[in-house]
Amino acid sequence: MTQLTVSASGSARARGAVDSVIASLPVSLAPAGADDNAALLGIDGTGDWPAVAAAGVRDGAAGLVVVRPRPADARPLLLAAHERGTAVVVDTQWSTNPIVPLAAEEFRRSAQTHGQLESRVVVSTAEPSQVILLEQLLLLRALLGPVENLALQLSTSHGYSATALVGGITVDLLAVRSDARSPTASVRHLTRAGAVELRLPEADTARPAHLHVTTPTGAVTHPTVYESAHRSSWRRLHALVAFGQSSDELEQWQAVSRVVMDHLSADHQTSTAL
Amino acid sequence: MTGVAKLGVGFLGAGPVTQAIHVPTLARLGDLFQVVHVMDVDGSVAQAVASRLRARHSSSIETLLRDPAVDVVAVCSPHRFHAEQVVAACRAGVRAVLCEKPFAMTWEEAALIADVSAETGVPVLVGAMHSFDPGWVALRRGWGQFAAEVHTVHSSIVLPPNSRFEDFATEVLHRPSVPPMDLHAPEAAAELVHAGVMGLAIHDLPLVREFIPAFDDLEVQAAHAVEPAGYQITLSAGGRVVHLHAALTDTWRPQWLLEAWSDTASARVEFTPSYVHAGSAIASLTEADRATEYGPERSNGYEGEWRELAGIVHGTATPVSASTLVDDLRFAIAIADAAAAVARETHGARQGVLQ
Repeated sequence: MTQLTVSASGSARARGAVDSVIASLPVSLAPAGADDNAALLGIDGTGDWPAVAAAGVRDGAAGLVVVRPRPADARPLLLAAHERGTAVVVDTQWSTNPIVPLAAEEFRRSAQTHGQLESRVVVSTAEPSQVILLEQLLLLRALLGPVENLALQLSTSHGYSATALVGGITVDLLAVRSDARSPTASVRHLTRAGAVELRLPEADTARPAHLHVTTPTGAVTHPTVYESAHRSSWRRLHALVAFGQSSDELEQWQAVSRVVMDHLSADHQTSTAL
Repeated sequence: MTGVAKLGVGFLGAGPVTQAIHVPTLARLGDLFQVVHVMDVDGSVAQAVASRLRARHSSSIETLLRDPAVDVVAVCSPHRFHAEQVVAACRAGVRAVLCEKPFAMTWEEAALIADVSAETGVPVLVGAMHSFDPGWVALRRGWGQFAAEVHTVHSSIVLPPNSRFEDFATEVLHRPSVPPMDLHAPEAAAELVHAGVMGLAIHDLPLVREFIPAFDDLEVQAAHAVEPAGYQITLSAGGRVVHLHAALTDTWRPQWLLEAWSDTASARVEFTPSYVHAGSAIASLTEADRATEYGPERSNGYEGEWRELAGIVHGTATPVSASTLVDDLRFAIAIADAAAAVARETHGARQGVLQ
């Protein structure tokens, strides 16, 4: 197995738990020395992160993990990565959980039957609104397909209610801000005969997600995966780089970020803050 | 409550609710109650149900109300008859009335009931069983300042058709048929939303109202009908946001949740399904990832409401004030009316994106 060196800023390491991820992948990853050009970079997704990431690509990084990027125009990074063939993985609160690809299969199968799709996130009171919305939509994008027609019904300092079209299906979105528990996300597709239900923990825990499929004759609980979303992201990047492959997840991220940014900048009707 | 005489119960309406909920519940409370009279407009149903209980039967409300063995009247007829029957029972001078929800369909009916109850001194208890669920009651006792700090409430109900749990609770005589609704018509969608609030959400609206100090500013931001039967409603009131969801499907797997959040704490109540005696809810209150759990207890809210009624009659419990019952109903009607209007108005937009 090819071992790849990793360098990340202090904030990227803190927000993305990079040190513990490296420690849990000691054959695949190693911390880069101070004077080394690291093969992989961890980029904190705050501030002008697209420019920072693009600079890292131009400096020769073979791959990047961008940690929980905030809505932004990522075209500078997209261009640079495309020119250099650099792999980019977007590490998010929900969509990079290792169970999501399997969950996507279940949801896409279930979605062939008419039903009701809903998603709820319960997040920290400190989380910025645009990040909450972006990461919830990214999860739905990963599960069901492109996001469009976002419509906010109610937005307060405590959360929001909205609808969107995801993969052509209307989804009801809820967000609640509370510090009572660690952040969680859930997605449920209810049909006449059953349901597919996904419950996700936050990215920085190996506590497993839960994926249940209810049918008329019983229920299936998919095997639990005790791996954090952060670790899953770095494993994925390592595989892309080691095998010289690319991923379109930054393009997908850009499309969802555009939906959020367009909505936040457009005139829309919201309730008076409560 | 030892040493007290059993209370004679008369049922107005002998349909599935009486058969599947109240008769089995009273069988668990044989030291407190005895069914003595069953009335139904369908005399054959009244006779069949009464014969199971060795009770008298009739197809006339007046006959039941004149029966001296009836201490407590249970109003379990179709919703539109509740108010007039509660009023009649109060004026007949029974010792108490239990009325299935909703106890009225308009604020005016509710106010009339309150006035007649006060005038006659006959206490009225509304059969909102979750209000008497031991899990909920224990949570309420233990939550300190939580309720006052709640900012968001979410009720989510996923249930199969009533018949599944009716059949676990009894062997139903004469189940009324419910015609399917064409939800492509805006008026049908609005009716479904309204009926959903007044028939299903209403189980938990008194609990939701515990978190809302006042609701004169109630506004429904979004509402739509859920196929084949159900609703999705977002509203704000008293500085709180409330999300109400229900889906009645063919699933075998029920889920009945009520959740609430403040900035620092959250409560979660998972109720057992209607009809069956599967114990109380399991409730939890969580702060900083530490949860205090309440329940499950062996009895549920059906037993709770009947025990409460016995306590009221025998002077060991204080009835809920009429103003509380009226305000509970006003809250439900306000939501039902506003949600139906929004559902009707936005139906086309939603239909345009439904897949």
